[in-house]
Formats: sequence, structure tokens, C-alpha cells
Amino acid sequence: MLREKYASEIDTLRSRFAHRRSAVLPMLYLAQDEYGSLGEEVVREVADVLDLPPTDIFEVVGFYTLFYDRPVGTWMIQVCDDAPCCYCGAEEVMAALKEQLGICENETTEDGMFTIQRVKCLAACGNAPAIQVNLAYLYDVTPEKIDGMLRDLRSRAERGETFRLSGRDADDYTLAPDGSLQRIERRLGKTPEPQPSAA
Amino acid sequence: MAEDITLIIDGVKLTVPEGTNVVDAARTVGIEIPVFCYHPRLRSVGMCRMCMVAVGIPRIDRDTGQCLLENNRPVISMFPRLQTACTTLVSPGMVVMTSTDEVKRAQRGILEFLLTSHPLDCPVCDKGGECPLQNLTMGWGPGTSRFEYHNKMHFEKPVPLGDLILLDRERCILCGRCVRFQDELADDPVLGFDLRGRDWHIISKSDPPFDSKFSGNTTDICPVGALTTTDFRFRSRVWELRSVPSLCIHCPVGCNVNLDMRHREVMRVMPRENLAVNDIWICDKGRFGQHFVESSERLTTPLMRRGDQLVQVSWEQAFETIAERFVAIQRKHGGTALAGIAGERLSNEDLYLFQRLFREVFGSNNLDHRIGTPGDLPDDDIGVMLGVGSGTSLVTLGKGTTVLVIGANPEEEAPVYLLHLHQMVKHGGELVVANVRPTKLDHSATLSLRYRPGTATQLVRGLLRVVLEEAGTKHLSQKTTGLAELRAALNHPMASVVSATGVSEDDIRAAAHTFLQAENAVIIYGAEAMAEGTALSQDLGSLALIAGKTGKANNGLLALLPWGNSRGVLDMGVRPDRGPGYAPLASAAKEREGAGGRKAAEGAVQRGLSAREMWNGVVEGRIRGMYLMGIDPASAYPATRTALEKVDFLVVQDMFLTPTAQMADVVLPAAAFAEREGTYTNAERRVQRVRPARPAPGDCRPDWAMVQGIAEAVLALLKGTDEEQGTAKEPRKKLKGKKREAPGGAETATESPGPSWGYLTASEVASEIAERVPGYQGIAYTRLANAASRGGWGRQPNESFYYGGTCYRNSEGVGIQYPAPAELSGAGFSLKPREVETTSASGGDTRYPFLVVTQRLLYDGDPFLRDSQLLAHVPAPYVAINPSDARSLGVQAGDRVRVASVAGVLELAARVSDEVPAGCVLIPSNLPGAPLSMVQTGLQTRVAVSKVGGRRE
Ligand code: SF4
Ligand code: SF4
Ligand code: FES
Ligand code: FES
Repeated sequence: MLREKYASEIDTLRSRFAHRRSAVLPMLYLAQDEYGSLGEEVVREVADVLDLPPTDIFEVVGFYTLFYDRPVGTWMIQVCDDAPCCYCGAEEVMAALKEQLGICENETTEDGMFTIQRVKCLAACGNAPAIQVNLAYLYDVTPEKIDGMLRDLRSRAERGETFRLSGRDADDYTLAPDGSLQRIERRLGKTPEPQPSAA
Repeated sequence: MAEDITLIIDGVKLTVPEGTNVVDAARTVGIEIPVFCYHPRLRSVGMCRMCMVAVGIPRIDRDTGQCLLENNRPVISMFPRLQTACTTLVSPGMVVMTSTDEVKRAQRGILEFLLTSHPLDCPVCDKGGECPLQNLTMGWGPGTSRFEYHNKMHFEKPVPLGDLILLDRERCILCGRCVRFQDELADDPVLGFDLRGRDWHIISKSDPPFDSKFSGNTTDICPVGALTTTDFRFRSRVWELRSVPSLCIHCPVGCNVNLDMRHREVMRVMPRENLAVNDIWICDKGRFGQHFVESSERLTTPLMRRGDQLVQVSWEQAFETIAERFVAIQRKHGGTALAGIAGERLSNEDLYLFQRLFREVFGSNNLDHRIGTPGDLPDDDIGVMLGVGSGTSLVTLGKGTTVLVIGANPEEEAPVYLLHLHQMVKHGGELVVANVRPTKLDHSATLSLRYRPGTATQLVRGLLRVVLEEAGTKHLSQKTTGLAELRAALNHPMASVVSATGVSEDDIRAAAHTFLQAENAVIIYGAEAMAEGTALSQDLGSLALIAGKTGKANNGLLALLPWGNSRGVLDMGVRPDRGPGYAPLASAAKEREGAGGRKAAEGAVQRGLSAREMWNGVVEGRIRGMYLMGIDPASAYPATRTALEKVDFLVVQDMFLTPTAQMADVVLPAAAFAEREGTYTNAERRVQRVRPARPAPGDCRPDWAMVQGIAEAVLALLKGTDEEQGTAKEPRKKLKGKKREAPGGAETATESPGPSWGYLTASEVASEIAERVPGYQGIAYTRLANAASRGGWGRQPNESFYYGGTCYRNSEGVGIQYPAPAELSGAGFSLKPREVETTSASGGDTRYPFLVVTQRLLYDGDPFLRDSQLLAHVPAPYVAINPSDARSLGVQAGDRVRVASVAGVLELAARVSDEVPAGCVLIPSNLPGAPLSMVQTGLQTRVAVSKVGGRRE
């Protein structure tokens, strides 16, 4: 199905790299964006599209928390609990999330809106605690702003303005004093848009 | 050439080749650096950190570029941190310390850490007793742990990785050896790591999971009990096992194995290291496919026909009856009314006596080892004349070597060779693969050629042309004839080769060039090549000769014959046209006369009937009695049933009451390879020995002893009826003095029974083979077992053992490779091309538009797979069709189709695959219940394909 729907995008991807293997991450983003998560069937489809051993693709999906290997809520909130974030209050952020959503780690709220998860260092320690929401980065998160943040995310969902599940075009945000998301200039290096190769 | 490098390890000065890592270097001077993830056959990855050492290098004076000296000694600057010895390559003047306090602390730390999540269930772990983690913990580990016991990581106990291998994730130390083995050597990338951190674990997501013919090897190199086989799991503790050296006889590789016995039961089959054959590996058929030995269906007593039934009889009764009936036939119709076929997984001793019985006692050359199907492959003689030189070891090939694989699929025909070829490419060798369809070897090939079915000979002639153009005959060192004829046959424009074969001129030139330029080159050809007839192997021989790739180690031809002793069968002369050692019949008969026999009967010098001719012979009444040893034609070629029913007297010798045996007049119960002595000759002419591991069930005897029983009964009968003296069996006289009388054909047999039978042991038969079969000089059991200097001769580096694998050390000897005639000066060869007898894919009879490409499968209807878990891997009979042909036939995958030729019909499930060339259908030759022989009309068969009734499966 990916093959039919994204034929030209897949062709571009494949032609961009000398090795099919190099196209795995962008292909997985594409698939995750399409299906919302990367279940067994989807991973096999990606392997098939790239003509690579399925085991290798499962390894990549398993390794990166960027890829969701099971269905998740409209918003996937991933809290970094590695040492620097932890020192800056990640546990408190996690506690606030759990309390306000009434769920534990790796669970999804009944309305299917939120899933929360602990992850390791997001390479944003300079703005700890950092969290990722559908792969967008949120910096300097504090427990007090959680309520406002959740409200903002809910209303975005109602307006149909969710973020894509492709890390390639994720944005960076800080939280306003009321907790609403404020987009900022990208701090981390952004992947350049795919350029069709000369060939 | 790699330069040698001198360094110092623990104060010991040593010199090793450039590119050696510190672990291997230390081993050469007996210093052991403990490792988990490092394995000498796999890439070093530095994953486990067990091999930490302190390393220093000489400090260099920046101005002079010289080593700085102090008191005339180089100043060494130590690296600030410990280094992993497995990823550190030696460099000049390097200083390594393997047991400083800092190193010991690191080693203890790693072990303590590895054990934090290890379940310590050694008492119920199959690896216990041969476990590197146990051993290294005892040798290098801490006595106690600072981690809390209850804080261990827990996983569900074993989960299947595939149907043969189980994974206990708690025990896994994440060394990645299994993953690297599958990726690098097996080229079945079916294992990987999922998740990370403490959740890290091995997964297999191929379909079906762990889809590899080499999976068992991962359990050998896994340094803990994380990987276990369903075959051995919980069956025994390893210290209860008695290990008996043996061989796998399933394919021409001839892998060395040990049968691990508890009492009389084979608990497991393990590889035994042999650098000239299987290195430290075996395939899954060798490991899991030996349960037939212990089958409850084994025959245990001789059986004789009484009316419709086969009833138990004594050995005397059986032999006497056989003798009476065979002698009666011989008297009435002559010895040539008797015929014998012997299987290719019998030992040389069995086969040698079998042909002796026919040639010397019956006076008949009606001998064969083939079933007699229209698709029987011609006997391969070039493959021995120009066979790979003595000292060849595929295991050690690398840079400077080119291997040309043509018309072969080593994965199915000789699995362990596939590992060797992958390793060769890794080490810089060139691999040219030419086939009509893709095979797994294409992945690692440096050049893949795809030729049209039936055009391999033309392709090889193209290669020959280029080689002659580039080098003329300057490399031709053997005496040859027929060069002019060869040149004439090559005298076509290259364009015609290109258009016939479909291979581009560039590719043909490139292939010929790498072959010619290589320092060493080997040609491997298999069943699909041999199905093109002898013209192809003849030309392959010429190619090797003209390119100068014969008569020396790591050069020559390697034919992938079907079974474990297919080479031995030919060597022993179980064929209608040649005696033992490929001797022409007349000279073989003369040799017998020289050895004391009388003048040979006429039947003994005339070419006998091939299996195919025998079946006709029975129908026409020319053949009256048959002796089938270890072969089951009724299953493999059902058309023989008419003949089997008609033949006056049929003796079948087998381990099982096969469909053929059920039709016999007398059935003799054979001992399995694990219950007897014997030697087998592999594809590289290496003669290797098995030892008895268990008593044979019931009254079973080794095949050679039963052949002898028949011979003696026949001779006694002849002697008795001729009222001669001396009925008692004399012990066999030594052959040495050439004084011994040997009966030499039908008429002499009646007069001169002689004491030439009565071998007491297989070893005596082997000694006679060593004396009488050209090529086998000196191959006696004592030399094979190397009893005198055990461990000295044939010693192996014991790498698997050393690096924590469970492949066995080889204390038994590694076999003896007899020289190929090409190595002996004076042997002359003909380059004269033979007539090409194949039909090509295009053209031909419009009623039978498809050409059958036969495929050999490792897991097929082989009766030796009985009782093995591998039976689940045997596919249901199928035919694979090209998508465009399938479309025009209206056939979809899974449909039942009728495959019909002039000869017969098969109904098979259809597969659709673009790997099959258009105009061809691919059919495995021997799937259960659907022997391809039913439709074969010759080496090449044309068929019609149609859908059956439109049903879908
Ligand atoms: S299963 Fe064994 S070989 Fe594979 S990673 Fe684990 S410990 Fe190593
Ligand atoms: S490669 Fe051949 S000889 Fe070796 S174990 Fe496998 S079947 Fe047996
Ligand atoms: S520790 Fe949280 S982003 Fe690095
Ligand atoms: S790191 Fe060297 S053996 Fe594992």
C-alpha cells in the first residue's frame, strides 16, 4: 500500500542513497506518519518495499523510541528521565502527567488522546527537562505547565492540528507561562528536505 | 604479503603477521586473554569488554621519526585506558600486559556485571559443563557480587527463535556472535537485536523464523546457554556423554562430526574441527538429520518371502537361499543375468566387496549406483581426473583465489561449502556464480552470470575462447591431446555465444579474466551443470587445464555429486564400464588375474548394463536376479516396480523395509553408519573414517559383511557341488605375497573358491582396497586413525574449543586425500570437446512447451530424514512457474497443476516466481510422493503444464 500511495516519494528516497539500508529511517517515518504506529505488518511492509531482511528493520524500530511499535494515542508524550533531565525535575513532570491523565507509563487515556512513556536522553539536555510530543521537542517543561500544555494539545486535536509522526519535520517548542505551546526557531539540526539525486 | 610484526606480551617477545589482533597474538605464545564476543571466524566488534588489556606503544621522537630511547630501551607510552585486545591490532614494538591489577579489576568488573542479570540456572542449563561463562567466571571472575540478587532482569523462559532453536533471554550476554554468524558466514541475516538497555534481546523475524540451514551452529558458538536446540534440550548433561568420532554422510562435503552417546542413544551430533573439510561447522541436516539411526522401524533380522509374507529367518537360511538362487540363475543364464545396484551413502568397504562379488564371483559387470531414471546424471570422471589438488582447503581461500560456481546451488547440494565461499569472499577472493536462476550465492558473488537453460556449455566455450585469446596455451602444463578440435569448436563469433547464452560479452570476458589471472582457481559444478551432459564437464576440464589451474593445491575441479560417498562409489568401480580406480574393465580383470585369479570370464571384461538398462533387461528376461544394497528404486522411480515384480529373485539390503524391500525375496538388515567401521570419500577425494558408536539393533550386520556372507555361501555351494575338498572356512590369508588365489569370473569361481573372502574386520577390507584400488595406496585404518602419534599428525588449531565453542577438537585425524591424476606427472588429458546433447529453452515440441529445470533440495524426500524435526521443513511437492507463463496458463500460486511429458504425469502445487526463466518450470527432483523421475524423458525433459479443475488450495 505504501508502495502505491507514495510511489514517487519512495523512488526519490531510494535513489538518494547508495545503499538501500540508508533509506530505512526515512521510510519508517513515512510509514509511521501513514499508519500512526509501526506494528508487525507495517514493519514487514517497509522491509518489503526496501527489499531488506525484516529482522533488520525490526531492530531499528526496537532501538529508537522515535518509532512506536504499537498503537498510541493522538498525542504520544515521551518524557526524558535520563540523568540531566532527572536533576532538573523530569520525575516531577512525569508525576504531574500521570496524575492529571490518570494513567501510568506506556498507557493510553481512555479517550485515546494521550499516551505517556519514559525515554532516555533526547539530546536536549541543555533545556532540561525535555519531552517529545509526537516527535516535536518541548523544552524546559515544568510540572506547573503540564495542565496548560495538555489543554493546548487537546484543543489542537479538536481542530485537527496534530503533529506529524515524522521526525523529519518536527518542530521545537517552549511552553508559555500558561502552558500553551510556542514554536521557536529549530535548535537541533534539521534534516534537509530530500533532494532527488542527479540520476 | 602481510609483513611480520614484533611485539612484547607479558614480557614475551613474539612475531606475528600484520593484521593479527592482540588476542590471537597472545595465544601463539600460550597467553590466554579471556573473550566472550570475539570469535576468530567473525568480525571483531568489541562488544563484551572481557578482553581488556593494558597496551603501550613506543614513543616516537617527532624530529627524527625514531623511537625515543632511554638506557638504550624504547620509551613506551601506555594508553591511558585499557584497550579491548580483540579489536586492537598488533603494531611494531607494542607492549601488552594481560594481568596487571588494573586488568584484573576490569575483568572482575565485567564478569560481575554480566552476572547481574544472569539467572545462574546452571543446574538446569544445557550448556552447564561446557559453558564459557562458567569457565571464565571461575578463572577470572569475582567471588561475590555487589549487586542485589532480586534486582535481576527477568524474561519469560525460553522462547522459540525458530522451530529448532530456543532462546533463553535471561542467559544471553548480548555478545552478538549468533547475529554475526548469521550475517557474515551463513548470509542468512535472520537474527537481530530488539530494544535496548536491559531489555535488549535477540529476535528473528524471517518467515518462517530463524530460516537458515545453519542455525545449529549458533548454539555452538553462543558462549552461554542462551541458545539451545529443541533436539538436545534437557536430554542429557554433557559430562554423561561419550563422544565418538564419525562423519555426516548426507552430502559430498563429508563433514566431520562427533556422535555424543549416552549408552546406546545418540544424544546429539556435534561438529568436529577439520580445517580441510568443514572447519568448525556443520549444517542442520548433519546435526538434526541423523535420527534414522534410532528409528523404531529399523529392520532387525533377515526376512524371507513365504507366499505373500516376509518372515524372519536365520542368517544361514538367508545366505543359503540367496546362494542357491543366484547360483541357479548363474548356471542357467550366465553370470550376466545377475545385476546389482548400490547406494551412495554406503562405505568404500561395502562398495568394494559388492563389485568384487559381481565381478569375481558372478562374473558380471552389471553394476550401478544410480536408480536408472531417464534423468540419471552421467558418471563424473573429469571431476576426479582434474579434481582439486592435494592440500586444497576451501576454508583457507581468500585473496588471489577465484572460484567459479556453475550450474550449482551449494546451499542445497553441499551446504557447508557455502560458508567457506562466503568466508573466501570476505577475505578478498573472487566468486563468479553462473546459473540459470538466482541462488543465495549471488549476494556474495563478485560477478553473477545468468545463462539461458541448456547453454552452460556454450558459456564455458565462451570463457575458453577468451582464455585462449588472452594467454594462448602458455599455462598448459599437462600432456594433452585434442587442442585443434577444441579450437575448431570455439571458432564461432563471440556474438553468437552472447546471443545464445544471454550473457553479455563484457561479463564473459570479465569472468574469464578473473579466472585466468587468479593465483588459484577452483571450478565448482553441481547437479544443474551435470544435467547438461558430459560435454560441459569436459569443457570445464579444458578450461582449468588451459588456464593452468590444475594439479596443485587450491586449483582444479570440484563436482558436487549427490551423496556422502558418491565419489567413493565411482572410485570403487560400482558402475558398468569401469573397475575400481577408474580402470578400464579389461585392465581391471587383468589386475585380478595378476593377483592370483584365473583367466577372466567373458562377462568380466565386457561393459555391463547400467541401472537403466537393467530394468529393461529384467523386462526382456535378460536379467533374472538382482541385489540392491542401500537403494530404494520403487520409491524414487516408481516405473521400476514392474521390473522389481518380474525379476526372478530379488535381494534387498537396507536399514528399513522400504517399498523396494517389500517386494524382495530376501531382505537383509543393515547396520547404520553409526554402528560400524567404514571409510567414505568426499568431493575433494578425502578418505575419512567412521567408528562404531552404538551396537546395531537386533541381528543387523554391516553391509560389507553381508556381501561377504553371500559370496562365501555362493563359493561354498559351488565348491560343494563340485565335490571338492575343504569346506571349512580358512582364515583369510594375507594378500601381501600376491600368492593368494582369487576367483576370477564365473567359470573360475566354480573351481577356485579360494580363501580370499573371510575378512574379519572392515579394516582388512580397507587394506585390500589400499592395495588393489589405484589411488588408494597407503590409505589404511591405522593411518586414518593415526593411532601411533595421536594428536601429532593432522592436528587442528582447536580454535572453536579455545574460543569457547562446543565444536569438538579433532583428536581423530583429518582423513587422507589421495592425489588427483592431474597431479601425477605423465597423466595425459584430452581437450577434445564432446557433442552437446541438450535442447535449449526455445523451440522444440509445441505440445510440450516447457523445459524442466531440476532442483536439488537439501530437505527433500530423503528417507534418512525419518524421525527428524527437519521433516517439517520439507515442502509439499511443487512446480515453480515464471509469472508471465503463469498468466498465460491462467495459473495462480497455490493452484494444482498437471505437469505432463511423453513419459508420465505429476500433479503438483504451483508456485509463481520470477526466479524461474520464462519457458521453463522448476521442479525439485525428489519431494515426497512426487518423484520427478515420473515425467523425466532424459537429462532434459519437456513438459506441458495445465491447471487442474480450477481448484485453489
Ligand atoms: S544468544 Fe548467545 S551468541 Fe547470541 S548474543 Fe546472546 S549470548 Fe551471544
Ligand atoms: S554440509 Fe553435507 S556433510 Fe556437512 S553436515 Fe551438512 S549434509 Fe552433512
Ligand atoms: S538527559 Fe534528557 S535530554 Fe539528555
Ligand atoms: S570485547 Fe573483546 S572479546 Fe568482547
